[in-house]
Amino acid sequence: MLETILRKRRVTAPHPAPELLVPYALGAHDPATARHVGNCAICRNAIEELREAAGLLRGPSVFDRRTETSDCPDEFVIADFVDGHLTPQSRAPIVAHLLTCARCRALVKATSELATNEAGLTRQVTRRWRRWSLPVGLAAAAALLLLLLPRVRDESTPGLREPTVTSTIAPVPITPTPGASVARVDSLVWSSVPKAERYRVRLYDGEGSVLWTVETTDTSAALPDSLRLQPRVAYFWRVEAQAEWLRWAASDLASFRIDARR
Amino acid sequence: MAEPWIALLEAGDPERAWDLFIERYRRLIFGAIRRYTAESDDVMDVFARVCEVLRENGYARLRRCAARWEPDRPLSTFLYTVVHNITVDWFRHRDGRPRLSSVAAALPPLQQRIFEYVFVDGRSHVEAYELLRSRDAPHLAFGEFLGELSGTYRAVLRTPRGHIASQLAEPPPAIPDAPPDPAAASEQRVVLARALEALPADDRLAVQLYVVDEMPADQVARVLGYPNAKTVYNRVYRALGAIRSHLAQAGIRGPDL
Repeated sequence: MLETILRKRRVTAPHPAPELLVPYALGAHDPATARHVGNCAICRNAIEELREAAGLLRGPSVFDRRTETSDCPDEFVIADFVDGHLTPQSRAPIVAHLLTCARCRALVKATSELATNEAGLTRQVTRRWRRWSLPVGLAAAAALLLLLLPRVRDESTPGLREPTVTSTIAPVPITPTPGASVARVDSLVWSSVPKAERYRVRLYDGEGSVLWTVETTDTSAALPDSLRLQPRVAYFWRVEAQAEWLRWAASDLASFRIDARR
Repeated sequence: MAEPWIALLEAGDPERAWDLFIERYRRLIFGAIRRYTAESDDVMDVFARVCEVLRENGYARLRRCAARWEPDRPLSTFLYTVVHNITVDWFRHRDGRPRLSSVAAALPPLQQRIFEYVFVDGRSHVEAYELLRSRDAPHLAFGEFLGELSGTYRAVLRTPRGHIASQLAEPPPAIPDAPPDPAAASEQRVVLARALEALPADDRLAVQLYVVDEMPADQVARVLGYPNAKTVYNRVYRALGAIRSHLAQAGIRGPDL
């Protein structure tokens, strides 16, 4: 009786649906489908045909163009495509373009992958931040806390700020030379700005967090001894000049590294 | 409610808008960069470049972001496209060549040249083949080239920098067992193109993304607006079947495939 049932089950057992056959044919590890295919000539044939067609499609990919052209949509359009924000009218030419442009398909693929794993991205950074923060020490932590205070004040009084005077000359970082790798950094030096009343300097760590800040009327600032800069790590700094009350002109972000041979 | 940095930007205070913007998104940007490289120096260099690009031309990109901002239109997706482009460009054009060349140092001379053309210069496989023929190996057959190309991919992907290197090149080619007959290959391409043209554009793109570019089915479903991955599998199944019957009608079947 049992044998009859089992035989009947074998005969009438449904073939795997496309959602199982397609990934299996293209290399997915699926023991259950593999067992079925091993015992089913119909599915073996279907798998073979799927693989042949896929192989044919993959072959001509050697002819795909990989470089950007003037036809390639910009980052905003790609982002809207990935998020499904394009209208049918604007979407159709993008689909047509993607069919011929391996470069833009790679961009869609990478963007989609990052968007899908968004939670993992920020979690990873949080872990690293904890690791980085350990060697900074209490002194740096206290300095950081103090230096955050002016920021809080600024954000709470946005109405007091007037638009930035764009004609004000911004200071230019001079030493350490932006992008340089240096043996040590004792001070930061920048160009002077006419009529500047004071300068505000911020030093950032690799995570973009403020390590140290100071306000001065000079065009240089000595780093405190409590600040331990690590070799082979990139640091960033920026200096702002205040020419009038609450009007600041900021330099570009400059980077430097401490040479490992120090 | 719009993000606070947008109001500052619109009020003519781009510096403070920038501070708020980068405070809001720096972790996300760092996280995205780390998907490509784990080396902290590289991460920081790319981060600096991302900041530079977002700030250039009077914060032009930031202003476009602000103009397009909507509550259900995440800015993060745009930032991912920027990070991807900048990371690839940065590795390729700035420090990319010398650093990536260290990846290729252990390769045989011919594979080093292939690496340079495909991974560093971003050329297609066919362009790389033509360059090799004209400059390095005039008698190199296409079948031999494919074998060397496959070896280059295998060697590169084994290295610590293999992930970023793979982002700089097109996907590795499917290597045929035997060198293709040019006439038969040409006929196949024509028939295949006709078979693909018979499919709806979205289905063609689904096939392209899932089968050729090996994008996960759930992500293909997301970008194409399908309800789920199952729809992708069904469309691909039908599309591959249609392609095959098209080829069979043209007399290309069995061993020819």
